[in-house]
Amino acid sequence: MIRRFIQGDEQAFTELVRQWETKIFNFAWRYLGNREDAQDVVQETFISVYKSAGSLRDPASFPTWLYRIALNHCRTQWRRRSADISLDDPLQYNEDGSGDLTVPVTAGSSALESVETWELIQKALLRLSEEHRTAIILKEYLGLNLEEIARVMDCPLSTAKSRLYHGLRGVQRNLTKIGIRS
Amino acid sequence: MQCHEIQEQFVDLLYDEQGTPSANSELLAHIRSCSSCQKELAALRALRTTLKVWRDEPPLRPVTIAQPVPSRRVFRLPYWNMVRYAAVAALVTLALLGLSNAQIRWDNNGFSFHTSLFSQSPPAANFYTKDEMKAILDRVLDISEESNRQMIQRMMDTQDADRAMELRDITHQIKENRIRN
Repeated sequence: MIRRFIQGDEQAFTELVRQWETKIFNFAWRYLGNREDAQDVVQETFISVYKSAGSLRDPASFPTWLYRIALNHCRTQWRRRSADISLDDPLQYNEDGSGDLTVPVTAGSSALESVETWELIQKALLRLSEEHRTAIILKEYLGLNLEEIARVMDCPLSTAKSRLYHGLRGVQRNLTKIGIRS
Repeated sequence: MQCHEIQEQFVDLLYDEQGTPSANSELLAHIRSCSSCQKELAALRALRTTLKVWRDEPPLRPVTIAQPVPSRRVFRLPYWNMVRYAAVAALVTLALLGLSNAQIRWDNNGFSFHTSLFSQSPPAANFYTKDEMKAILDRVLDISEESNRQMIQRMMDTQDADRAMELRDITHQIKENRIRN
């Protein structure tokens, strides 16, 4: 299918979109913390994919190529968003734009059973640097191996490992601040 | 070996992947002997489980893929823009020539170009006026009429001469017949 897409097959492109749009949406949502922005990134990503199909030489590298395009759009969207909203403390940033600082769960393991737990994880992720957040999303949610992460982030393998480790430590710290101990 | 020196290598233990270097024996030996690192590693493993709580969601709406519009370029004539610009340039040039009363002549005397945009005097008349044309036509008609009249007279004269000769011959013949009789 990827080979047909590279050769300009419209149907193959449509099938690729259907196959990958959920992954790209969730990647962008976790990166940006906002569903509408994530949806914009999905749209822009596939427009870029369509336009630059000729630059993909090896069909086997399609996933990393696609994530790299999506990552670039996420970065652009993040900076655009940063211009509108102060992200000095991303924990204050909610999807509805409100500045809710209250944590709706109590500390302790029971918090993890709450339906809002994913929101706390989201806040903890958003407080990370872009590099650390990207590494965690690519590893923990998209299941890429370390070499693929290094290719998507265009960095050496050792740097990808370091970003992943420090990203995990950062999430751990942020969750502890909120009151969750994993 | 200090804890902070080796903890980045925890990634090799957390994600024991094919193709990446697995944890070395020195690291494993340190963890076995260091309660702090054991605790740290356990916390990171638990964190990975916690992160899985955030489940995937479907996109808000499907990606809209517009059907590619056929390029208009396909339907354009080659050099269409050049032709268009040339046509506009030609029209502008003609308009300027008209405004400047340009006269372009190419005759036995060769090529000549003349404008009277800034000339105060009217251009020299090189054509006949209506009255002049009428006089010329009248003259031509007069000449033609006279010529016709003369020609008809000549014809009539010729015919009269022929008839006179014929009459003379007839008269002569009658006379001869009378003498014979």
